[in-house]
Amino acid sequence: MPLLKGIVAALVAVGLAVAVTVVLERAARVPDEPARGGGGGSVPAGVTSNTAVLFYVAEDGTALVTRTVEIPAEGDPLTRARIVAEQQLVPPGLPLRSAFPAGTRLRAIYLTAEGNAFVDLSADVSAAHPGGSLDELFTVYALVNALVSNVQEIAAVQILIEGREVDTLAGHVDLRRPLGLGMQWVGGIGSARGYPQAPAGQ
Amino acid sequence: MARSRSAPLALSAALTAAVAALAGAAASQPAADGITVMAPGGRGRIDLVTHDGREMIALDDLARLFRLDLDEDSRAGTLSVAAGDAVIILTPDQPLISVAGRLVSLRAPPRRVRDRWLVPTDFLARALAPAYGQPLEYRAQSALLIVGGLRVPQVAARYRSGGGADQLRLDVTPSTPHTIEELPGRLVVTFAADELDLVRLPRLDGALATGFGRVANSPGLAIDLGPAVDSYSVSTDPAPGGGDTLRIELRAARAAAEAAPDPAPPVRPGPAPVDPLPDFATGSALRVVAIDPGHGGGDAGSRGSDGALEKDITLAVAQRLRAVIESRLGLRVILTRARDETVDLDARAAIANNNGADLFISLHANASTRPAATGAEVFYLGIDEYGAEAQALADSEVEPIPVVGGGSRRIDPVLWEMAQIVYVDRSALLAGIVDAELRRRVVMSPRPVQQAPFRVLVGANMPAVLVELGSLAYPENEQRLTGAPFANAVAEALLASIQRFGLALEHGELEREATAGVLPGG
Repeated sequence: MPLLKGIVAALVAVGLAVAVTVVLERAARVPDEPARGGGGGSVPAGVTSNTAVLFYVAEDGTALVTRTVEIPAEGDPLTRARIVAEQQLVPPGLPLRSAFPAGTRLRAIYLTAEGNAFVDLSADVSAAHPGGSLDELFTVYALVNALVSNVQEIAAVQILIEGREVDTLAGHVDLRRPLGLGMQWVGGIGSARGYPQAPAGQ
Repeated sequence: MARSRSAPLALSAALTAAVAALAGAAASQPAADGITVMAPGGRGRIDLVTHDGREMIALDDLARLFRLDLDEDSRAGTLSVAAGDAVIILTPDQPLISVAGRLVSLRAPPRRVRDRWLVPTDFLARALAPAYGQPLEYRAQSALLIVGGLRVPQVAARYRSGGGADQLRLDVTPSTPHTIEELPGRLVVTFAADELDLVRLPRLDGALATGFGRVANSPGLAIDLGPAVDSYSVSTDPAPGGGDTLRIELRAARAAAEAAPDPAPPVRPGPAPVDPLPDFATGSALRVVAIDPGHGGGDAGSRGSDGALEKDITLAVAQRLRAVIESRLGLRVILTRARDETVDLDARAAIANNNGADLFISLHANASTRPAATGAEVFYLGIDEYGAEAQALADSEVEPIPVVGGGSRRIDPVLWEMAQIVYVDRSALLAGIVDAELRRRVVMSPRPVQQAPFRVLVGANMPAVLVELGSLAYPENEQRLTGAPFANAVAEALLASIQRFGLALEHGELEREATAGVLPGG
């Protein structure tokens, strides 16, 4: 019996040590500096979080750059997708810029078994879009990349407006089919791959 | 300037009259400093002018012989050459010219030298021949221009002697019936032709034959037989290239007595050394260009801070571009919209497709407020976004499909709405050229040529690019983009791009670059 008590005590000690380590590690994991004006994500104290990568227009306007934020860890892919999409629509702090026109809202999001996400946005995403091919590409691929990068179950994204399929947002990018990850729009000039982060403090 | 359909006959008569005075003095061999013109009514000559080390022809000489109308547009800097109903348009120092609406490249650019327009000699085969309205064949090797379908076989003569039996070999192209007449001390070979183009004379040193030459006023050749000739035999065999090889064996008396069955060693027929016939079908990569002024009507596109609209700028540039293409290249230009109206994206590609356009250029402007993103950009279609189906189409071979009644047709299995997929390589080549030409003339974005899933491009059944001209965001940009100098600069850049692209297609640049894996933006 003394032997059994000893084993139990050892197991309890190990369990406590593991628990303490996990708690300390969680406490040490701090999200990137939240973007001023929102967009940094927020996780209530005590809620498990995951790191998500979001996409914004770089200061010089020639590419998308990424910023990591903490979002609540949810097991349900649809819920995670909704959280990521909503976070992506929140404007970042300067000097980064949102790729979405002001007022753009997420109306609904659907997932299919084939890995396609259908994201229904409000009409502002089209009506208030400033135009221009590159800006339209940034708008589309900020959302597509955010969902495909952060939700494992999503392979491609099709944007809807006010519940309807559309040809384009502003006359350029073909939205008639779900689009896959487009990393050529992310990074510095000529960089087709990679996840460059916005400089610290942005 | 336009002529009636009967013009070719009048031209032929005019040429006959023009060269009649020269006929008596015409040399049988091409003049060393000119081109011999053979026409149904006689012969003439076109002088050659040496310029920059290259033999050129003065267009005013050609105009006199062929009754061409020359009309110089001093404002556009071009020369129109009217040959019957067809018009040839030349630009100084540009090797790409327009011949009856088809782009043709010359080996050297036309030059304007002291009020004369000079063109390289291949102008005859590549430009004048297709435009002239009746057969016109230029043989560079013999500096001979044959007008009106005259039968002028090319004859190359070789002579081989030794062993008591000589052989005269005549390579005749194309195959032409002939008769051989035996006269005292002479054989005469007469061809069923109007003239002969004798490109090679035999060397007769120490031979059984003592003379070789043309028969006056006849398409015949005479071979003078020396006293040692005892007998002869003739054989004719088909030769590669549609010609004949005529062999005349001459035997000496002693050799004939000894010889018997083997009068001469067998001669292996070889390819006749003929100048290739001019290829009238080449140089026609581009005939119709579709220009798509982006947006329009209720879709104003981007908006400048002082109120300039993208739809107006794209239309102004498109109209300027149409004017320079039509006046300087003579190509047909289709605008997907010619005024401020709404045209949906499907209709734009359909307009280009239904008009058989060979090229599609969509014009846009943006409103980026970021200084680094305010320059021009060039895009072509990215097919990754269209999935594995598109990739399979891009890689697919054209398959022959059986048809009713026997035989087969080669069907290109590409969906109409994704017609661009099979042109992506050519569009990449075009985009690289457009990017380079724009960089020489306007402010460019630092981003290189890009691929994107653009709606207006995917249905275009021809090489296609989308050009973002610049940003309207700042008043100074807006003023620049709405000014005539900017429209002119863009038009010049795109005009040069069309010319370079036509040349690249014609010269097989796409295949070479594809092989090397260096397609721009690829």
